[in-house]
Amino acid sequence: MILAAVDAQTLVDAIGLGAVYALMAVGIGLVFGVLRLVNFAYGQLVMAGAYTLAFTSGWPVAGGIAACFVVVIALSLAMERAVFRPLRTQSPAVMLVTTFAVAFLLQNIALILDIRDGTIGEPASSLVQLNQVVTIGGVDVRKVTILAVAVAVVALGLLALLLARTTIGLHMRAASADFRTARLLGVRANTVIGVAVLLSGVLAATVAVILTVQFPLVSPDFALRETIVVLVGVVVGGIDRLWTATLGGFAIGFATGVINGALPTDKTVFLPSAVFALVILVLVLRPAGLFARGRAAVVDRV
Amino acid sequence: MTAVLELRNLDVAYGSVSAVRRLNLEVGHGELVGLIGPNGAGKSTTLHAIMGLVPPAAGDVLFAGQSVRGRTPESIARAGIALVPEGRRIFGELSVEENLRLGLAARRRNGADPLAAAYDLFPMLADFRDRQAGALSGGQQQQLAIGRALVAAPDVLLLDEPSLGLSPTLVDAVFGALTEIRDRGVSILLVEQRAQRTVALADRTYVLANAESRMTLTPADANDTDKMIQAYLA
Repeated sequence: MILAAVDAQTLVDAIGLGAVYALMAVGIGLVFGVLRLVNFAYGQLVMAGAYTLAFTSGWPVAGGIAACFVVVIALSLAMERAVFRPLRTQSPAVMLVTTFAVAFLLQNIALILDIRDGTIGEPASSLVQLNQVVTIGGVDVRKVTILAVAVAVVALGLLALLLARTTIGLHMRAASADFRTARLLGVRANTVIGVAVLLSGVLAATVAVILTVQFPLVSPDFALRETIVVLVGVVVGGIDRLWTATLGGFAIGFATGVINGALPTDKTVFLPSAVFALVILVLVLRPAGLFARGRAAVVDRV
Repeated sequence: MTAVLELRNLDVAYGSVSAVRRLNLEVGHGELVGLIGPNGAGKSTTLHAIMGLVPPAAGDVLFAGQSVRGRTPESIARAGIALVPEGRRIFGELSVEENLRLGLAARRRNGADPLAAAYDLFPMLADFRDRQAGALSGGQQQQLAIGRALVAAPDVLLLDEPSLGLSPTLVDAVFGALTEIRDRGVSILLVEQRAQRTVALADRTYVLANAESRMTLTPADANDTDKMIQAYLA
């Protein structure tokens, strides 16, 4: 019955959601690779980008998007310089808790800026025309879904090229595998971390643009729920590697979309329960990650 | 002869435990210097202190007459000191050639074929250049680790127990390669457990025990069994 409910329309929407979550997963996975840091404050980078789009609503669209990228990238680099770098040698638990603090700090700064006009929530309406629908083969596809999938494919393709073909990409792959040995070979720690944080900021800004089209009312908890779901997806996919983390992000987005489409309209309140039940099942069966192999098999046997 | 690498009264401590005490050591240009001693004597710690992985509690590390104390591992590597770490530490998921290209991060000059230094010494690496490094045998991985350090064209090569876990034939190959590397003009500091072979090969060998330098041996001592036993047990 559930499968029958999964029509082409649901699949298209699920792929669109998966694409956005995959972009966020890469942003989180890149930084985790070089810093072993799970950045809970990643969603607040997206939120800052969304507010920038809202506050620049009167500007030409390109100007607003450019401002969004500038703000998010600057905030991402500032976060690394002011918070992550001094804590780099601390335990992962200390770093994770610190990112909670950063997240709540940024959320409250956003609240202070937002409440100045007496209401919470700012409209970011300059891109809403991307919500228009085009009909392809009888399926209604919102333009933003096409944009999300296209951007995800292009961004991931460029990132794959960067990692595979360039010297800095090689250095980042080495640093993700064994940071100390990479440094002993002359790989500059600050450079690989800086580039990872920069790319992660670019991805957060991209996600901000796409999400504000889908959710044009920006509030301080913008992208918070998405971040939690993506973090879960990253762990489910396998946080150790960028590609398994990315697939995990896509998978949880896709699964959310499919379950949402399959649930009767009056039962959608059960969506998170259904998604997280699936997550628990996956983690029980494959604790090292859904897409992990090799090392995962060893972990399984222990 | 001026020393390319010099340790002056080096002290390293882990908490209240002293790992290296007042160590003085010199490696001259083109010299192969050995550093032997039982497990826990402080040999690896000495190499880690040179590379900036652990901070010295006192004393100094001089490279070409300049102190490198307090510098990051990457800046010391880029200055011209390369370490072949214990356990090889190759990147198993990267190809052989990618591992070698990582060694170029610390290279100070550009050459026509920067990987040639490794391929000339170990032709096997050229044959397997596209293979995943993790698929190589232990001996091949050790050759890759040495080749990866060499492509940086360092002035000083530090090796931490390169013969560990290798069969006798492969140990011969590694020691043979060290002579060839020295003959190319690279100064070498070799940390080893194989005392007799190291003493026989090196221009000078320091014996480290209980965190202190106990004596210095020359190749003439290699066949003096009493002296070798004394070095370890005195």
